[in-house]
Amino acid sequence: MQQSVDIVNLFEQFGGQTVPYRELGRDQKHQVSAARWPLVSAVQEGSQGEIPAASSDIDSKNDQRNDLYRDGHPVPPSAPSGPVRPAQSAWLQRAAPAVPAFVPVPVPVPARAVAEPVVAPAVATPSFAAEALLPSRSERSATLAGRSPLAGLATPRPQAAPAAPIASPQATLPQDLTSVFARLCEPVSLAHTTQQLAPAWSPVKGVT
Amino acid sequence: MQALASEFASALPPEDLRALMARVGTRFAVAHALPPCATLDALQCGMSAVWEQTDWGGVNLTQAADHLDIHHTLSPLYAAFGSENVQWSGGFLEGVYQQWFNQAGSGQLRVALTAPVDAWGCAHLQLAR
Repeated sequence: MQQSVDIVNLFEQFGGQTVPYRELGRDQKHQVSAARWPLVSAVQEGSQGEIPAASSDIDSKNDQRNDLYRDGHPVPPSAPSGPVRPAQSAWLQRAAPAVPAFVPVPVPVPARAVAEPVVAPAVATPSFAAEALLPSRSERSATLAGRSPLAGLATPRPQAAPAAPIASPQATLPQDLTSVFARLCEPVSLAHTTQQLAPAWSPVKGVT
Repeated sequence: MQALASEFASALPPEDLRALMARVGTRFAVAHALPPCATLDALQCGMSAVWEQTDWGGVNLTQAADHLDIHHTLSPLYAAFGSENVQWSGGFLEGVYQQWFNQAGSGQLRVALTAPVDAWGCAHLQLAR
């Protein structure tokens, strides 16, 4: 069976160079989602720089996918120029990246590709060219913070001071069996009346 | 087991069946005597080892002010004897824990069910005066 060479021909038609290649579909989806759902924009404000970059290397993708949910926190992808992945503590402590990672790429998009959907005309999809006319990301975030009760979730939480360890009642009680049995055999003192003995479930009387 | 439970239930009242199950539990505990334990944690580990060996769930012992909570989880009592017999099937656990605590030196303390075995086979008992 002959394999299709359409992709190869298309690749060669554009010069066959892999260096300037950039995958745009993921960024475009983010832009459309941010414009359509305000909550997505609010969440993106608090997680800038944590969106993994698309990569053609399958092993790299799998590695990033594993890192995404390590310890329940998203992990930013490692820098493409550096072979060593940054330490976990580095991205955990980073509250705001110095360079915004979400940079819109000026790409000529056919008008047909961004036409408004026919099925749901009420939800308008703005074209990417109109992105420059929209208010800045920080301004939109401030607006969303005022009208969305969940917008506060997007902002990084300040690290709470470590709470002092609370001694549980179980830890204060003696653990050796002799002391336990002796304590239980004693009459209940007033100091021990915080927890009342639950009534024993006993549909049958006289069973020991 | 369901047929056995039905026959028992038709022949004996629930209070007698509960006492019978407690005696069965006592025999079980004698047959599965625990090693000497000095602490409550060691006693809990010994009990759980027996339950794990027989695939009868596990137990958690928790001290309270005037009693000791015994939380037995995932026993097959409910599945074996049915929901209509939970009033007396839990007597088995009463007998087992009573014997084990007697062996550990609990003296006059008594084990009693505070709630019947639920659909998950979990039972809550207490050791108290």
